[in-house]
Amino acid sequence: MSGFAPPGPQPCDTRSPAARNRDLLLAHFRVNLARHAAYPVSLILEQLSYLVGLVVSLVLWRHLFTRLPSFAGWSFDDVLVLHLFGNLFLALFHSLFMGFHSFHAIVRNGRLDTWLARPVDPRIAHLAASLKPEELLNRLLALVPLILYMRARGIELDAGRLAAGLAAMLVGLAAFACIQLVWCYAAFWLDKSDAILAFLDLFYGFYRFPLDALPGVAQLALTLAAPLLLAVTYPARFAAGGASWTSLLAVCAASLAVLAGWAWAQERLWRAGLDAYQSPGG
Amino acid sequence: MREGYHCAHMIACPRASPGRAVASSMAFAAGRISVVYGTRSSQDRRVAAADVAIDVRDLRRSFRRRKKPLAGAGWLRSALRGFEAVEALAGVTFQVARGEVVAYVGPNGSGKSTTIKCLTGILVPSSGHVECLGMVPWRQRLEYTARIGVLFGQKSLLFWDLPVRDAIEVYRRIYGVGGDRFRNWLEQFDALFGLGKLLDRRVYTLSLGERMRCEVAASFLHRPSVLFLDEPTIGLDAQAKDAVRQLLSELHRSEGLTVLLTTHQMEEVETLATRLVVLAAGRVAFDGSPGELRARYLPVKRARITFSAVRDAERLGQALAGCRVLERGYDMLQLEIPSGHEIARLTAWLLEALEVIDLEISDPPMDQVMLAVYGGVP
Repeated sequence: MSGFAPPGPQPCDTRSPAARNRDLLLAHFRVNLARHAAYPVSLILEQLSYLVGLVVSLVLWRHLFTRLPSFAGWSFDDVLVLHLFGNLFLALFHSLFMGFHSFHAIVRNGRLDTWLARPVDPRIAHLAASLKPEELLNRLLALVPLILYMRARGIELDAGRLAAGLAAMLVGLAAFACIQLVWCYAAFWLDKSDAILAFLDLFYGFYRFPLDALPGVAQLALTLAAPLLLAVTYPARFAAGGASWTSLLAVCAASLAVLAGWAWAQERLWRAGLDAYQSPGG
Repeated sequence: MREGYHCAHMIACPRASPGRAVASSMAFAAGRISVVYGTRSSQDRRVAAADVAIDVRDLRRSFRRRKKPLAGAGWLRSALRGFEAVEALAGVTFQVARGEVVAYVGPNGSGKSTTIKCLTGILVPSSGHVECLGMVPWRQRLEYTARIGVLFGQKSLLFWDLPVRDAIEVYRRIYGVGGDRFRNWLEQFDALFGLGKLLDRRVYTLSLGERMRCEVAASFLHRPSVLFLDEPTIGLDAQAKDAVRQLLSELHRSEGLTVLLTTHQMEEVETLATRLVVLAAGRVAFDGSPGELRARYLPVKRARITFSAVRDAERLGQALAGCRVLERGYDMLQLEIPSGHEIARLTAWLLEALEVIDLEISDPPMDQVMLAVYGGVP
């Protein structure tokens, strides 16, 4: 075995942590997409299920709006925009962050050890490893009929409002991800913590309802616990033309405040969790 | 992808120079390295500061354990308060020189894996001092883990349902291994054990031996300065074990790699390590060479004699005096000879007393020595 280079100057990785994380995310995105593309029937069935869910929800709303002229200021066309935003939110959330649902498993089965022993943030590593690009693809494809239906109904969204609404949604999405992380870290202290995330799961399905119809106190409580209002309801209403730019700015400010609070909490808990981490034996 | 070229050792230790690791390894093997032995016992041995790759002092780590399963009337109180602290490491101290291969052995539950986890930045110790390559593992984790390699025999680095190549690609991205370095690595490991033909196979289709070869190769992708191996040959057959050992031995020889190895395979210890640190109940029970371990815990030789006839029974009795007969057959005798016995005279007497066909004198197996060590530790 003479092929080994003699000891001496060794090449070192000079990338910034951000570039390293980006490379890792891209590598996993490609790998995970290839993994799921190997099961095309499963992909098609999943897509059908999203499509059926969307159709059932819209049929129910359509039926409701044949009896009501509007509901809390929302028309059926507005509800279609709400579904567009809601499904976009879910597509991004499920494909990017849903993997954190299995965080408790990697803490218990020791997979976290293999990430901790690498020059990478274990949170990014787990995020990358659990990326679901097929979920993004499926959910976005399921939106095509919705967009076609909206066009058939003559709904024209202003491009500026749509872009601003989507930007507000992304801030809300980041806040949601931080909240989920905070709950995930319970795995460092509890024997079994996956049930905690079931509480958070409760809220995802509410995206299809105009949550701003709730009383103010309930809206505030909901925003602090699961900011669906900030991520979906308000941006959708704004994109549909039902709110002013000033109100969107207020929504963005609130989203940033919620994001900052939960981001701070998750960072503190992460560090405390690593200090308390026991690692499974063996 | 941009790559800078500089020496990992030099970053960790400005005084180090290229080639120092191998030089220190050879010096250590020749007994010339600046190792200062304590005056009281080999447990006090210290390595000169400039040559230290791993420095562990009074390392302690406790775990929180539930006292009893949650059940019955007091479950709520148990859920909240029913914990106790179990001390896995109770003041571990040792140093490893650059380029040294140290076997870290001990019975199950003695704290070997916990030490490795503290040394690799996975666990934060309860107290004590740990410094590897001049860094504190859990504080400078990103910088530190780029310079070490870790292989857990029981935890795979690969992805179960994907080809090996995909996992390697992910690690290549993590460590920033560029095209030329990657090709070089691939050629080397392909020549070593045919890695090339394993790369496109899904991990679940590999045998355990094939998988472990891929794991070893993956852990060496970024050419680490220090390699931590936690039971690297667990579950492997003899051929695969031999391949992995040869590989590690060769990497150590050619790259001057520092290796800390935990294992229950004593032949592995004898093949690879120049030094043993024996852990028992969270403490270092012994630190020294395999020869010193034998001399301290089982200072005997074993003799196995095959013979066709007894020529002089009286002389035979004389020869066996002071020896322990382990096994006695019609034409075979197995003895344990205490240290201090004159082997030459014993051999001469045995040759006089018996019509000897074969005579073999050897050290007792390392497993027996370890049994003596574990048996002697409270």
